[in-house]
Amino acid sequence: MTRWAAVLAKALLLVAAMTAAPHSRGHAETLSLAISDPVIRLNPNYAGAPIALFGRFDETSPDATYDVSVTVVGPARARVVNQVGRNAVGMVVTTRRVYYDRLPTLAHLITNRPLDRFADDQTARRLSLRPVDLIEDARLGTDPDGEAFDRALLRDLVQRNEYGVDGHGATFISPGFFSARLQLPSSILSGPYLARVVLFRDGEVVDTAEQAFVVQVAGLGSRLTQMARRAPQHYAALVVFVALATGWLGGVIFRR
Amino acid sequence: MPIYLPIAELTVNLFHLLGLGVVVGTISGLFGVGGGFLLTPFLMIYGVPSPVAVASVTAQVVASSTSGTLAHLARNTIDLKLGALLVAGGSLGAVLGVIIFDVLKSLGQLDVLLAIGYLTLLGSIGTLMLVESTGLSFRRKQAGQTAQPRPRRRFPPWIRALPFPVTFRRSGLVVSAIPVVAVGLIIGVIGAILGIGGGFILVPALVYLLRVPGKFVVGTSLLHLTAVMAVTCTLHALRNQSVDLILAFCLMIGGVFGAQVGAAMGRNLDARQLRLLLAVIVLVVAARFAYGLIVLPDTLFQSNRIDAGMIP
Repeated sequence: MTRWAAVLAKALLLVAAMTAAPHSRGHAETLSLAISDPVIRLNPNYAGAPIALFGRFDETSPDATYDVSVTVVGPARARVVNQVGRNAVGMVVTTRRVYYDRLPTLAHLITNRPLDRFADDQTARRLSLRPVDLIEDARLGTDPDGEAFDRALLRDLVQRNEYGVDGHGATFISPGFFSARLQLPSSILSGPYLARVVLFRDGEVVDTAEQAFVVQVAGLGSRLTQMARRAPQHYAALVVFVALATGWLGGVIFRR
Repeated sequence: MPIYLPIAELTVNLFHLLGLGVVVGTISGLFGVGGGFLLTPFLMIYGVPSPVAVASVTAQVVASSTSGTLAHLARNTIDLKLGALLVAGGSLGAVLGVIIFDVLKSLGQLDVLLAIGYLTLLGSIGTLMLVESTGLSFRRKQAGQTAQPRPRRRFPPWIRALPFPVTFRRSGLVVSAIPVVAVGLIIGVIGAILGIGGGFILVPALVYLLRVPGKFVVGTSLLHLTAVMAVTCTLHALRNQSVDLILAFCLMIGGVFGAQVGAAMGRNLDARQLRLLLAVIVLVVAARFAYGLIVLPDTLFQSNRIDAGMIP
């Protein structure tokens, strides 16, 4: 709760700043975005972090229904889905595999109400709003059962909390103001992240905008990661030294 | 208490890591093995990516073996000459093993090959040890003896016929350097491929194949583990930067403490009881791999993050 309170405090400041700032683009329903934490630091005690996105636009039609979808995506990596089955001798082996290239390591869709209430399937697919759309985009090959692999992968990633859909995670604070909040999981990669926001009016897309944020390893972890990648020979020497020293010290401490 | 592992890129519970280190360290101290054959699969089940688990365990094995090695050095229970030859073979084996691992990875079905490898090795060695231990026990009971059985010191004719004989004064052995280096090399290769120290193979190999007196078996095995795992750890750090020092350090702390507990427990058990207990542990791990190869999992689809270069 304390973390969310801190996020809320930042929200108030951001909303005040956004209210004061003039719109930069032409039409009235232009989205302006701000984020609670542009940089998320993965400290040694990192166990997940709350993040909030704030958006503003001018409502031109008081009678219209506005909806918002926020798709948060993380750095892309390759992934493989193996299907297991029995071989000729009854042993459980991988029988088929489907590869995914440049698949976001994190994908969460946050909306103010379930997406299917205000956007049709084609629009969602075209704009890659849902995690399942991102999976389909990344799938390689022409396996006729590709969708079964997609569904299995989605189940796996949802279980890990790396992918998800929250149909009520976005809230209209007041007309033309909304917030979307997401609890980042404990296992996330460092790198660039993007929140893609789509504004709907009566089911029609009226504007889209993006807000970037960065997840970076901090403190000792950051130094170790850099050393491991930039000077692997020094890192290897450090690891072996630490291992030998820990072993030796343990022997000294526990010697009777 | 959460702790973020920067190379593995995930948050884990610190006390789980320390606890795992203590358990595996106890086994290490008790039997003179590294414990990697338990630790690597456990970390994979816990969610640590397999390259990071395999590589980081090598560092943990170095630490847990170092304290034991130094203790045995102090007690003069290491045959240094024998150890040096084993390490020479093991270091070469580690280099070969890392290359073979890359080839296997590019061929696909690596997980199945690893499972079959673990099952074959652990199953055969565990069964051999179990039969030997219980067989001795049965014969001793029949004869009403309490003394240790006399070790068989004569080598089979094919070993005696090999060239390059070397005298190991401390162990009281004269044997060709070829089987000694070969044992080290094979264990180095297997260790690098399976992500294990290979102590559970080396200990029986020293006892049954090289006829090393029981007094020097555990110390010499630990010396080999320490040196070869240090080489393997260095190779992993250089080739794929997958050694997570924070993960390894947490396991080391638990492991070093556990090794002392294991060593103390070992003083109250005789060699036969130790072999029987190790056989049971090895067979339980083998059974776990057999289960994975025989029983279909609940979900028939399994996903893993991979390097983009692995996409065909």
